[in-house]
Amino acid sequence: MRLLLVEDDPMIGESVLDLLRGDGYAVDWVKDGEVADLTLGTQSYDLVVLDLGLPKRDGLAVLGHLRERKDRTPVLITTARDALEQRVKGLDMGADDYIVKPYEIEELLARIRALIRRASGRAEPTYEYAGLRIDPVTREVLADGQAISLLAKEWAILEQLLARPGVVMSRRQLEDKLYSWKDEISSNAVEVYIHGLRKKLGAHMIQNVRGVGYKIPKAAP
Amino acid sequence: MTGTVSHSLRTRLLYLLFGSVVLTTGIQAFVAYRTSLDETNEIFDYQMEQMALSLRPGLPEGGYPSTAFHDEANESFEFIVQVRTADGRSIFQSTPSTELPADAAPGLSGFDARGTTYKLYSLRTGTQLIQVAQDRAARRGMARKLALKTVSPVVVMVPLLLFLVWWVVSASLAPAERVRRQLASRRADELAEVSEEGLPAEIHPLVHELNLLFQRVRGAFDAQKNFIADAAHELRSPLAAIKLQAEGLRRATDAPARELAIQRLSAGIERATRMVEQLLMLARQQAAPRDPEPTEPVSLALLVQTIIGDLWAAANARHIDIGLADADPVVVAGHRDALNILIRNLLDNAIKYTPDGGTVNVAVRTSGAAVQLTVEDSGPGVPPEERERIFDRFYRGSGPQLNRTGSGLGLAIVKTIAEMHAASLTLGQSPSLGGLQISLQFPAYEKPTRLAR
Repeated sequence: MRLLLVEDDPMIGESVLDLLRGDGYAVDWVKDGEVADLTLGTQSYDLVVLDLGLPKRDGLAVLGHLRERKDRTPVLITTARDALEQRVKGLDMGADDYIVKPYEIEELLARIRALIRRASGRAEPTYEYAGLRIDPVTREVLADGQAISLLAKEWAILEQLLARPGVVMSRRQLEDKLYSWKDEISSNAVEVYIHGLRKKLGAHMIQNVRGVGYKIPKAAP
Repeated sequence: MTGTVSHSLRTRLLYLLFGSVVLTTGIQAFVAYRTSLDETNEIFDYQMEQMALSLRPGLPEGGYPSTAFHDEANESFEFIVQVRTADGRSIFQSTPSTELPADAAPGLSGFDARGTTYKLYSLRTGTQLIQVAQDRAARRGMARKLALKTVSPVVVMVPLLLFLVWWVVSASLAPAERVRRQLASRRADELAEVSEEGLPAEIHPLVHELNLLFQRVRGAFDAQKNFIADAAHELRSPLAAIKLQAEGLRRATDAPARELAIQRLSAGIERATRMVEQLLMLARQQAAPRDPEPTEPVSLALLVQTIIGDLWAAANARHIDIGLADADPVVVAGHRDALNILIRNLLDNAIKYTPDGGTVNVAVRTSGAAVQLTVEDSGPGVPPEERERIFDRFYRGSGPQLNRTGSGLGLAIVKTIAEMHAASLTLGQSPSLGGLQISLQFPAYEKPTRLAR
C-alpha cells in the first residue's frame, strides 16, 4: 500500500512517516501544497494523509484539485483546526475522513485501514477463501486454523492484491505500490516475494496471468 | 421641577413645553380678564352718564309720587336714579329707601349706603341735580361674569395644546426610541450596524459613529476569534508531535532507533516549551498595567552586546557571523527587561532564517535626535507583500526557507514591545546582505517619563 503524507510540520511529519513505514506502508512525504498537487497529478496512491494548513497552497485546494481530476483516492484529513465549519467543509469537498491533532497513532492507522478497505469495496474486515483467512488488522493469515508468518513486503503484496480480488496487477503496478521514492528496488524483488507467498499460502491463492501479472481469486460469497 | 433634572430628552421637552404653554396661557388669561373688567367698568360708567343725560330736559317741579311703585321686594334694582331741584328738594327717587347724597361733586364719585358701596354719577343742569348710582358689588359681579366668558375659550384650549405638544414631541423622537429599542434587544455579541434610515439630522451622526464603532469592535472581535483558532492550532501541533514522538519511542526496537526517538522527543518537548514561554511572554507584555512603571535610561548598544554574547554560540554552531556593526553610545527611555526580550527575539529570528555560513549585522546609530536599531541578515528576506503580516501572531513566512518549528510569536512580541516604547518598526531589504532588514526607530531620550501605551 502506498500512501502520500502531506504535512508541513517537520516533527510531526518525520514521526508519522516512521510509524507508517514501520506498519508496512510505502510512504512518500511532501511538505507543501504545491508539491502535493504536483505529486498527486503524476503518481497514484492508495490513500492521502492530508494536513490542511499548508504553505503555498491550502490543503483544501489540494483536495479540490484532486477531486476535480475525478481522482477517487481516499483522503484522510489531519489538522489541528477543529472548528466545525472546517470539518464540514473538508468532508463536503471530498475528504473521506477527518482526524484532529493531536491524535493517537492507533486511531490514525485504524482509520487508514478502514478507508483502504472501503475503497476496495469490502465492508467486512477479513478476507476468506478456500480455507484461508486473512485479517488485515492483526496481519494474521490462517490456513486451516494454522498461523502463517509473512515478511513485511510479502504482506504488502498480499494486501495490495486483496484490495481488489480478481483484478490482475502487473509487476510494475505492484512495485509502484510497494516502494516509496527513497526505496531501492531490485529488478526481481516482486517475483521473489510472490514466490515466497505462493509457497506459504499455496499456489492457488496467487494466480499468475502470464505476460500480464498476478491476482487473487474473489472471496467466496 | 426641583431635584434632579431628567436626562430624557423627551421628558425634558415635554416638561419645558408644558410649562411654557401653561405659563403663557395663564398670562394671556389674566390680561384678558383684567382688560375685560376695565372695559366693562367703562361701559357701565358710560351707561350711567347716558342715563343722567337722558333726564336733562328736566322733570316737572311737582315731581312724581314714588310710592306708586314702591315695592320693597324689588329694591334690588341695579341702578338708582334721583332728581332734585336746585334748592335740594327731591322730585324723583327710583328707590325710596336709598337717598343719594345731594352734596356729591359733579361727575363720577362714590358713596356708602345700606352696607354697600355705590358708584355715583351726578349731573347738574341749570335747575336740577340728576344723579344715577349703581351698586359696585353688582357691577363687579357682572363685569366678572363677562370677563370670565372672554377668558374661558383660552383655558379650554390648554389641554388641546398640551396634547398637540405631547404628540409632536413623541413623534419627533420616535426614531431615537426605535434605535434605542434595536440596541436594547441585542445579545452581547451582536455587532451588526443599526439602520440609519429615516433618522433626523440631529441623531444621524451619532448613530453613524455608533455604527463605525460597531465595525471596529467587530474587527477586534474577529481578530480575537482568529487568534484563539490560531492558538489552538499552534498549541496542538507541538503536542501532536510529542504524542507521535512518544509513540515512536515506544515502538523503537533497537538501541540506535531508541536513541533517535529520544532525541526527537526531547526536541518536541523543547519546542512545546518554547511555544508556551513565548505565549506567556506575549500575554505578559500585552497585559502590562495601564499606568506602567516610569521608564529608565537603557544603553541600547550595551544591551545588544550582551545579547549577541549570549547568542553567539548558537550562531557559531551554524557558522553564522553575527556582529555589532555600529554601536553609538546612546540611551533610550524604556524598560530594560522588555527591550532585552525585543532584541533577543529580533536576533533569534535573524539567526533562524539565515542559512548556515550567513551573516547577521546589528547596528545602533543616532539619526538626528532619534535612535535607530537595525538588524539585517543574509537570509532569503521577506517579499514586500508579506511584510505587513509578519508581525501578526502565528504568522510564518512562505519563503523557501521554511521553518515550521518556531512559535510564530517572536515578531508579534517585538511589535508589542516596540509599540509600548513608541518606537516605529520598518521592514526592508538589507542593501549590503540582501536579506531582511528590520529597523526600529526610538524617540529621542528625554527625562524619565511614563511609557506610552
